This record gives sequence, structure tokens and C-alpha cells, in this order.
Amino acid sequence: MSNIFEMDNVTFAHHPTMPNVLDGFSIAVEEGSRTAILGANGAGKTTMFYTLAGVYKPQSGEVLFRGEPLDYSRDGLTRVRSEVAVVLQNPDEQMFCSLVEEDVAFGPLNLGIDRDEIETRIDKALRDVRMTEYRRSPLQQLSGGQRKRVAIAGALAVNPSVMIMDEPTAGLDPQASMEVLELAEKLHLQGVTVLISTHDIDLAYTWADSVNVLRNGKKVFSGTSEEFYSNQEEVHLCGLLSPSTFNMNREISALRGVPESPYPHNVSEFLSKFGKAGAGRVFCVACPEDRVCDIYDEAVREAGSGARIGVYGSDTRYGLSGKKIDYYFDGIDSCFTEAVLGRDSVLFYDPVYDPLIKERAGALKEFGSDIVLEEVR
Amino acid sequence: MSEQLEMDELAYSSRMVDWAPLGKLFFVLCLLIVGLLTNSILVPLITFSVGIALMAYSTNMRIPLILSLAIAEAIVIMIIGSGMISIMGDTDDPALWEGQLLWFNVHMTDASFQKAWLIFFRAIAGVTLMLSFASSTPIPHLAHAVRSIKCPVEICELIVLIYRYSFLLLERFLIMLDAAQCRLGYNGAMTAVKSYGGAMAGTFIFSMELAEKSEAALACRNYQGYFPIYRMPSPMSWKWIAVGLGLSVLLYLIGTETADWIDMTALFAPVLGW
Repeated sequence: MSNIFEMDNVTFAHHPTMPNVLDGFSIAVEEGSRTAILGANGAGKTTMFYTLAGVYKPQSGEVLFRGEPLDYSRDGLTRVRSEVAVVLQNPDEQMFCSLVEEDVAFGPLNLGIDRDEIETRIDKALRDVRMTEYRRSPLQQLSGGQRKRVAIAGALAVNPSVMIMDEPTAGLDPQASMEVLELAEKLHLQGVTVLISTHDIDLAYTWADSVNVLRNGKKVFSGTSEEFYSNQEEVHLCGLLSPSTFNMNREISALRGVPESPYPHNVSEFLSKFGKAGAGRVFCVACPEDRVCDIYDEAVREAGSGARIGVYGSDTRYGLSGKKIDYYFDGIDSCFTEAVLGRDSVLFYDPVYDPLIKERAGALKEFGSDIVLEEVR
Repeated sequence: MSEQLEMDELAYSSRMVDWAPLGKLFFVLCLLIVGLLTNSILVPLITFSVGIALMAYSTNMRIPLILSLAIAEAIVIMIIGSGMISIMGDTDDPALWEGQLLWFNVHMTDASFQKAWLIFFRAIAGVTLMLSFASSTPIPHLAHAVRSIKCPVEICELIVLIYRYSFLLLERFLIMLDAAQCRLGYNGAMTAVKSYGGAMAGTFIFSMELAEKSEAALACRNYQGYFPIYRMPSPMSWKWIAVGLGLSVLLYLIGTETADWIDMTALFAPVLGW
């Protein structure tokens, strides 16, 4: 894949008399990738995002978008920003309207998109962040978490090809954080390049294809999570900590005298590596939005009594509200864990996640588990 | 929740929110002006009743307590103001009541008494009419309406920005006050004054920081120098002009015919012994 963004030796300071926030910074972001940007507070993550979006113009160096240098004219920036959406850490900073729907429509209206199309986009974006019922609510009546969802919806409504999220899970409760993660997966599966900066290292470890680590305005690492966390001194110098799954893998591998690689990223992979590798079945039910409830009874009957039920994806979760569910969040890992433990389970999910499920099942083979995926139609 | 937030919530939940903002404003202004043009107390009484009826319809009579208290406070201020007018009559005219009240020389005349009542009714009619408008018109709708009558875009955009950020700053200010309370910030009068001062200074500094961040955020959202509105409020139709002007003419005629109908001095004479 080609790089969608490149920053080459970029230097940026807010004022000539102030120290550089980005100092000879270079980075390449592959199109369609899941990239995590890590770094302590003040490392320059937000400035990097603003520079990518053309909000800040570097004093030296070059920013390339799709291989072309960023054009800082009004038209040039409009072109870039119609493809690049940014979700800021504090949602209040990016909300400029009074009502939820007005704010979600703000970006598309600025791009001059047709109103019928905007209506469809608002519906879809609010459904994706589960805020449909708040569509006509004033923003100031919403909680911080709800405002964050609206901010994400506002970015989604632009239909971006690059989604930049600055600390998307900061200030969210664990369930809302999981929903944001699902959303990031969904965007990735739809071909969107997703960049997330986060202090939640466990989330980044589970989710990202690659990590870029910043320290004092410089990129100090670019590559896989494992490579970075293997260098404990660098992790410490960057003001970070290793993810718990990574640490447990390292210690148990040492105890058992087995190599650290392959590195498990979630519970099912961890159990496959160190526990028993049973062959339970996962009944996979891709739920079309209009038939979620009809499918439920049939699928549960087919799986037999005692099978645990998991959900992945906001549409399916919403459609099955009121039904008996065992794993409301992170249903893929939970159902795969059941299978690794030799038990059957049913996984209901939004159809868009189909490739993700196959990818995760394939990854489990590397850890010695060959779980059985049975598609229920 | 602050009064400002309550008013905003009220406006968005109003049954009149989709009515043309300019139409509502024109209608209210017509009634206010006609109330000032006539000397009959009956006209402000009618416009007061129209204001109450509109407010009742707009809010379904669910006026928040804090707003009711604010209205009551305004009425008390008007009573005091009208009272002052009534006791400062022309000393050449015969007095209904004369004497000393606190440090005031009281000289209440028939004319000053009538005038005070007229001003009082005009004032409360104005309050209810304007509240019926304010409780049904969100500021962004008003800004859009003002823009549609060729008011400079910069002013309209400023209205929306100030409106939006006033909430954030108010919220911030309230958080700072709560934080001061957690840190014994109201332990003594001087400490309380210092805490309020600190919160105000903090809010001011925050507002500058917010402005800087907002500029970047606006750029990220493709701001083109104009705040678009997704759900447009209804435009003002000729019906509003016809109804507003028609009612004004009718009230003016009523006012000229009924100028002397209600004599407040005669009404109060039996009670006050005049």
C-alpha cells in the first residue's frame, strides 16, 4: 500500500521565540492502516495531527498528502480537509452549534454537500455512535461522553478517507471506549485510514497495526508494538508503560521457558498460547439491520442450550437490546475464548465485521487453536 | 442549571420554535409600540394578556421555577419604579397624598398616579411579550433571521459564537466556583471575594485559550467564514405582517376610544380614602 500521509523532517514552533513542538519530525502513514500514536503529555501528538490537517504550517520540512505537498491555499486546504477528519480530545472545542444534528451537519454543510445527502449522513453517523435519540437535543444538556460521541459523529459525517482521533477514549466509560474501538475497526474495514493517539496502551496494543512513538517533538520509534515494548528503557524514557498482556506474556514465557513470540494481543490468544487449546464452535451470525431479532431465536436454538452469546457492533447490540446476551462488548474475543476453552458460543455481529472475525480466527491458529467458525444464515 | 441554560432548553422545546423568528419579532414589536402610542391602560392590559397567552402556549405552562422567580423579580422592580413615579407628581397639582416617606418628599397627584399605572402595565406587557419571544426563539434562529434581513454577516456570526461560548465559559465559571468551595474558598467574606475574583480571572484566561483552540478546531471542520444552519427556521411570510399591523391598528383604535375608560384613581379612592 502507498503512504497517504508523509511528514519529512518537519519543524514547527507556535512562535519563533518558543521551543520547537515538532523537531525534525518524520513519519509515514500507510493508506488503510490502523496507526497508534503514542507519547507522554506534551510530546507533540496533537501538534502533529494539526500539522497533518494543514492547520499548522511547518517552519521547515514538508507534509505530503497522497504523495503531493500540502497546498496551503484555501482551496487546497478544503480539498485535504474534505478527506481528513479530526476528532479533538476535548469535544467542547470543536462544537459550534447548539443542537446535536446541527453540529453533525456543520462539516458537510461547510463542504457544500447536498442537504438530502447530509440528512442521510447525519442519520448514519448518529446511529454509528448510538446517539440517534439525542438528534434534536441541545449540546449543553449532554454529558461529556455523549458530547464526545457527537464529535465523532461530526467527523464521520464528512465521510473521510483519513480519520484522526486525538485521545478518543479519554473521559469515556469503559463500554463507550469499547464502542469507539469497534467504530475504529469498522472504519478501518471500510478502507478508512485511522490514526489514534492514546494513553490507553492496552487499547493501542490490542488494536493497532503499527505504533509511532513521540518524545519531545521527535519520532523515536516506528514499527510493531512488540518491537517497541521489548525495549523497556525506551518505553520508560517515553513516559509510557508496557501493556499488561505484553508483560504477562513475557513473564509466563520466561517461567515456562518458551519463546515470547508469537505475542498474544487478547485473552483468547493468550489462553491459546498458555492454556488448553480446545475446539469449541463459534456460531457466527452476521445480522442484517432489519432482521436482527428474527435471526436471534433461530441461531440460539441451533447452537443449543448452554452456548454463551456475544455481540460485536453497535447496530446488532442495539437491535438485540432486551435479548439475553452474555458478552455485550468485545464479543469476538469473548466467544473465541469460549471456543478455546472447548465450549460453544454464538456471536452476533454487524456484517461489516466479517473480515475481522476471519482475521482473528486465522491469528488464533498461530497460537495453536483451530476454532470452528460455523456461519448461520 | 443557570437561567441561560434554562432559557435555551425552553426555546428548543417550545411549541413555537418552528414559527418564523422574524415574524415573531415583528409581531411582538408591533404590540410593544402600539402600547406606547396609546394612553389607554386597556391596551397594555390586552398586550399583557396576549404575551401571557403566547408564553403559556409556547411553554405549555411549564415555566421553570428559576425563570418564574426572575419574572417576579422584574415585576417587583417595576412596582418600585412605578411607585417612585407615582409619588413624584407635579407640585402645582393638587395632591392625593402628601408627606414624607423615608427620605422622599411625597407628592402623589391624580396624573402621576395614572401615569405610574400606565407605565407599570406597559412594562409588564413588554416583559411578557419579550419573554414569549425569547422562550420560543433559540439565538441561532434569531441570528439567521437577522442575517436574512441583510445584517452584516460578521455581526451575525459573532452573535452565534458569543452565544455558543457563553455556555462553555459559564460552565467553566461554575466548575471553578465549585472547586473553590471544595477548597474552603468561601471561608470568610474576604476569602469568598478572592475566590470569585479568581474564578472570574480564570474564566477570562480560559476564554483566550478557548479562542485559540477554537480557531484550529474550526479549521479542522472546514469553516468557510460562515456558520451554516442545517434546519432553517421558517421565513417570515406576509401573514405575519398582516396580523401584526392589523392587530396594531385595532389596538390603536381601541386605545384612542378607551383612553379615559379606566380611572385608576377612582378605582383606588374607596380603598385609600381619596
